[in-house]
Amino acid sequence: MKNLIKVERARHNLTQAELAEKVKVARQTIIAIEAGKFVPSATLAFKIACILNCKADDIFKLEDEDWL
Amino acid sequence: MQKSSFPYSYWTKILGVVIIVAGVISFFLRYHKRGIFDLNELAIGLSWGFVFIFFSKEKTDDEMIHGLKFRALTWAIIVAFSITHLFNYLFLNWRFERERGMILSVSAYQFLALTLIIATVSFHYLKHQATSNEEQ
Repeated sequence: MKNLIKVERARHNLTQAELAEKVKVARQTIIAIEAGKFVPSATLAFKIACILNCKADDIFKLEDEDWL
Repeated sequence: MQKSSFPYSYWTKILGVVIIVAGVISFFLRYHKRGIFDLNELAIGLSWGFVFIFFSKEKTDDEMIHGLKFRALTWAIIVAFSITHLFNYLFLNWRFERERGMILSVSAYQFLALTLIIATVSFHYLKHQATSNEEQ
């Protein structure tokens, strides 16, 4: 699953640490999500979307391999 | 709000380290004073210490940490069980006779210590892998 967190975060002028603090996870978790190494739960995805003022499916996009 | 599945607080890790150090010192003291090479004594200290280290919360305990710990523990059990079984077969039961003998095995303390050492190392490796392209 790819995501646009980095882009949206830059648009809202938020650092990884600030976003992590707002959604109550470690900064390493935001780093791993942005790098596509960790897929967040639905709850965390909605929390991130809420903080970035957009819908969850605007920032998280399914890729072909997610259907395999 | 997601509750942490780990029972011990972050600071319990210090207790774990203290138990491991005490276990190692006790093992070597006994070896030097009496010449007794008791691996079980070492394993008791290691297993209790690593129980407190592995099953305590991280500084920030979130779903990625839970996922990584679960993966690390899953692989650790498979690897440690395979090593234990191989060790039992090759070193303790090589000349086993089904009609007369009893199957020998390493102790539960040794198995648990091995499992938790592998789990702790692989957890930190997985965590490093997940955050290896860390930004400044």
